[in-house]
Amino acid sequence: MLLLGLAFLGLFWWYPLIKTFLLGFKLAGLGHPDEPWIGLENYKELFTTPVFGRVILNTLYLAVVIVPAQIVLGLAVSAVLNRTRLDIVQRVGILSFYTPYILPIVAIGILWKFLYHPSRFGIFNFFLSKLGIGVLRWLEDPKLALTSVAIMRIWQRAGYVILIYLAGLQSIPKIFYEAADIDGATGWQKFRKITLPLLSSTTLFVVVTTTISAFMTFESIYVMTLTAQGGRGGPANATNVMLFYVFNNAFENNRMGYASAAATILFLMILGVTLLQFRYIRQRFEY
Amino acid sequence: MKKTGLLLIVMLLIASLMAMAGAQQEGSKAPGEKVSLLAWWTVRKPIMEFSKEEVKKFETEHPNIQVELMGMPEDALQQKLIGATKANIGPDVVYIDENIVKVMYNAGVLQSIPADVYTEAEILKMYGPKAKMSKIDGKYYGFPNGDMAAVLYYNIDFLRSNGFSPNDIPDTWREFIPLAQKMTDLANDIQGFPIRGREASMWNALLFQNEGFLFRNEKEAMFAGKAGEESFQFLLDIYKKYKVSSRTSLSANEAFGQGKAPFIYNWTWFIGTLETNFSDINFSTRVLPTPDGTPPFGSYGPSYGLFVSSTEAKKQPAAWEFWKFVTSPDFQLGWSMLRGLIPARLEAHKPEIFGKSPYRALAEAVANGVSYSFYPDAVGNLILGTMVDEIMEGAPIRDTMQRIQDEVDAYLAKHSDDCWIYGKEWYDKNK
Repeated sequence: MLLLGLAFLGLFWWYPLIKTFLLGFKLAGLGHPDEPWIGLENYKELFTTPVFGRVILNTLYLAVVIVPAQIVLGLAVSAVLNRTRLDIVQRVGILSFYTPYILPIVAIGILWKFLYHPSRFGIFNFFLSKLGIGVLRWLEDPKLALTSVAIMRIWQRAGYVILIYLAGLQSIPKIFYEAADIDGATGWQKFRKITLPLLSSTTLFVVVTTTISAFMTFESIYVMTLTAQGGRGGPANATNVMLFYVFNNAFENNRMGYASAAATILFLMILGVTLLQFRYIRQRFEY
Repeated sequence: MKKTGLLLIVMLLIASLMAMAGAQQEGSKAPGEKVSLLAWWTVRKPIMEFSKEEVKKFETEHPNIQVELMGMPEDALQQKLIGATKANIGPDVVYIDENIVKVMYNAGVLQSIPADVYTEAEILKMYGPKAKMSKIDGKYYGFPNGDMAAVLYYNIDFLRSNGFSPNDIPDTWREFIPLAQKMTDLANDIQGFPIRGREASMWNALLFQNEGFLFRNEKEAMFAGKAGEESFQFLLDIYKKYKVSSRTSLSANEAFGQGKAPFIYNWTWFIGTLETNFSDINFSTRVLPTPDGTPPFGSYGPSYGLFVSSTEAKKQPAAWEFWKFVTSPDFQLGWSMLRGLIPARLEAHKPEIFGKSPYRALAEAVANGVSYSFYPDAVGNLILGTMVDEIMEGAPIRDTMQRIQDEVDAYLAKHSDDCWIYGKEWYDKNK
């Protein structure tokens, strides 16, 4: 049984990982069945291609917008739900926020594409124009497109964060709050001195998983940014993020070696940021 | 009891043996072994439905050949086809988009047409001299189903309600724009000539109209020039100067489909979309206006195509038999009408169909257009994606075009084998 488990791990985890790493140093893909070694050529090309810099910045931007927003939103909503005395309200609240998380992202992406229609026929623009703000080209303005995708992702994954934080909040013993009440602590003081520190391991988990998820954004880009003329990842590469770039080069452009090099960089980015988060969040909050 | 049981078993055995012998006799009556073919097909619903009906006829005529049509999305085809063919589980006949024909040829997926299927003389008789455009390294592998082109769609009822008729549509852009302006009311989402979502394709048509070309030859792009610049300026003017289209209103296709625009620019595949999704729109087509009212009207593109990809030698005769059926004039005519094409087979050019609206404009645009080139998405996304997006968002036209042209040249230097370029040099030699 152990052998079977190790074989499974080797075949579906270590082999692809090592193969991807090695392919990054090869000319692989269509027309190159021999996969000749080319050293660091793929990496050189990645770092000299103008669009790759944009892709890295887009990926980081997505994480910088999504992670804090999901944590703040998740913590706030779960705190409200935790204080709710009516069980039914809490359950309906969880169900409402959690449903988008379990819905197919493709269906959500198509739906949000309609919501983001750049005319007053889109629901968001309808309300904006009623308020006299005017309409926005949500997915068509290069300055706004990635933020629009981020907003959808925040909404879609909020339920997951809320659920995790709610479990974390419910596991904090009430005795700490009762002692603080006796000492005359205010609500904010209790939150800052008791809730936040005791949620540090939950926060670490949420930060790490949400960051990885943000770095791995793909489906929403694939579904929401398709235009008749420029394919996906536009306009003007505004929504071209790492995982989409890897996919596009591997499966659309048939450049497996180049895509593998980009995938290795994505892996290192995730590893680096995760290690930083472990170090920083543990040092700051855990005691 | 034992005797009865034994007798029953013996009788059953005899009955089984007789049945088997009967089956064998019946089998020996069949003229040959039954061959099952797998064909990866377009997922376009009307074409798939039409094809399924036609395949039934083929199977009746060829009782030993059974065909399964499997819809395969175009964006999944490239990777799946190569992988499946390598693993010997690929299709026997496949529908391949023109942009990846060369890629598939290079990957060794396509079978060349044997002389016992069609000789070159027969091919030229069936397809005319244009057939030679499909020759790759001296061999024929497959042909386009037909040609498509960009045309001007107009809403007959919309024109009438504004006091105009199709005869009032002018031949030059200079005269066309004022007409579109007369029917524009952007506050109420009425766009005289909406182009949102069609900018890239229209820039491409304008480039050819302005006597420009995308490519000089297989190694060199040449769109960064005066013709390209003028074409972009005209597109920008449509929004900013002429104000006949809005970037914060319905897209071109949506506006025309919802009866909120008298005209749109689009390729002829849109005929099928209008007939199936917006059947209440009373539309027709005509060739595009041009700067001086004379051709070329833009580019036209052969729409590929059906190929034999069977790796099993014993299946290949049946695969070619089926391929001959699906490239026959009757089948191609049906396919072409559903896809908005002028059929490639000369016999399928029915004047009673293609001499009339909405196909007449297509025939004229193809006859007076410049052949399009085919290239993988990597190049398409650069030219029609990044470049068009950036310039339409306000990036300097000349610098952006030059930068993208340099990137395309760098791609061509490495991957021109995957492209099927009909550049200016080819056109000058073969027009």
